[in-house]
Amino acid sequence: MTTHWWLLLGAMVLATYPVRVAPLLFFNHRNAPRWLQRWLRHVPLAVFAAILTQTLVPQGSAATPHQIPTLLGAAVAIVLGAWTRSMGLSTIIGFLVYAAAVWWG
Amino acid sequence: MQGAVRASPIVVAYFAYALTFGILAVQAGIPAWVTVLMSAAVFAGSSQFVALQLLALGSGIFEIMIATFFINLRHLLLSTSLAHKLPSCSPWLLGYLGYSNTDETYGVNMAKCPRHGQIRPITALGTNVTGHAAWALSTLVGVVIGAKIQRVEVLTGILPMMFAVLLGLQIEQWREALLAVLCGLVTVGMLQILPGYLAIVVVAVVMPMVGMILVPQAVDGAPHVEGMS
Repeated sequence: MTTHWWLLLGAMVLATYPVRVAPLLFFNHRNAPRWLQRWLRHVPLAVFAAILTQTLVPQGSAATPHQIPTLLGAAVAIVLGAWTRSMGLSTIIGFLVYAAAVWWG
Repeated sequence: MQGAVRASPIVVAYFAYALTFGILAVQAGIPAWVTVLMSAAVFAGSSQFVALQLLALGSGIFEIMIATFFINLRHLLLSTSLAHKLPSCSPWLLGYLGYSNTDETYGVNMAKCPRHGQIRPITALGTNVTGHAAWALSTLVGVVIGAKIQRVEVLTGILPMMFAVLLGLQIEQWREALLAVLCGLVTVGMLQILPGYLAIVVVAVVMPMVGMILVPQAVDGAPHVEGMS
């Protein structure tokens, strides 16, 4: 049984580590082409928008609890983040809005 | 140290999320040492939660490995993007920075990077080590208190807020706001036909191309951001 768990951990590391490290090693010593740089500029925005959307959309059994409060808090957090540029403040206020909506919802 | 301070929002979010992971894993019958070691060695939040789900469904190791691989595929893009902002440094340091390049550590590292400047490797190391330690230790706390906590959904609500803020920090002009809305709509569409981890990969590949057209003046570099204060 212990072997099974070690195999599971090993398999998960193997499926995680190369994907994260290989591009870093490859592109650290050479410049990415211009078009790639322009494309990469928008990758963070796309990834964060996609992850956030995923937490807001019901998906079968994996539905996020408290969707409306999450939506309210996230909307406040996005606007505050874009407006104040302050990460900590925006996260805390967004969460307070979320928690208040859960509480009174 | 600077990196560690910058990681403070991550510590809060990870505490809630890893605590939940620890509690759920122990309640699902996964040994405590496996749960903590998974957080320390794999350090991939969404993959770990999916692994829990798959284990509960009786899936095999190979299926979990494939799921983990696809969930982490987006890090191919994140690491490529990060590599471009790091000066040349040792393969060992890069090895660790890549290993610990999660959505959240990446977000903080990129958000704090001057528009045309580079990320200081030592600062990134501080951020990533802090995040990594917070993730593993919070899992340990979750495992220890185990079944004693009944309601934890409110705490997990911090994580979406964090992604919302990371998204907000990427928006500096209305064209980028428009791009973010488009990304959200396309994600909703993709979720109708694809599992979540694949939908993210598709959006992460295709929507930046739309961004290249929609925001033509954008050059490399991440937006300005202030710290916790």
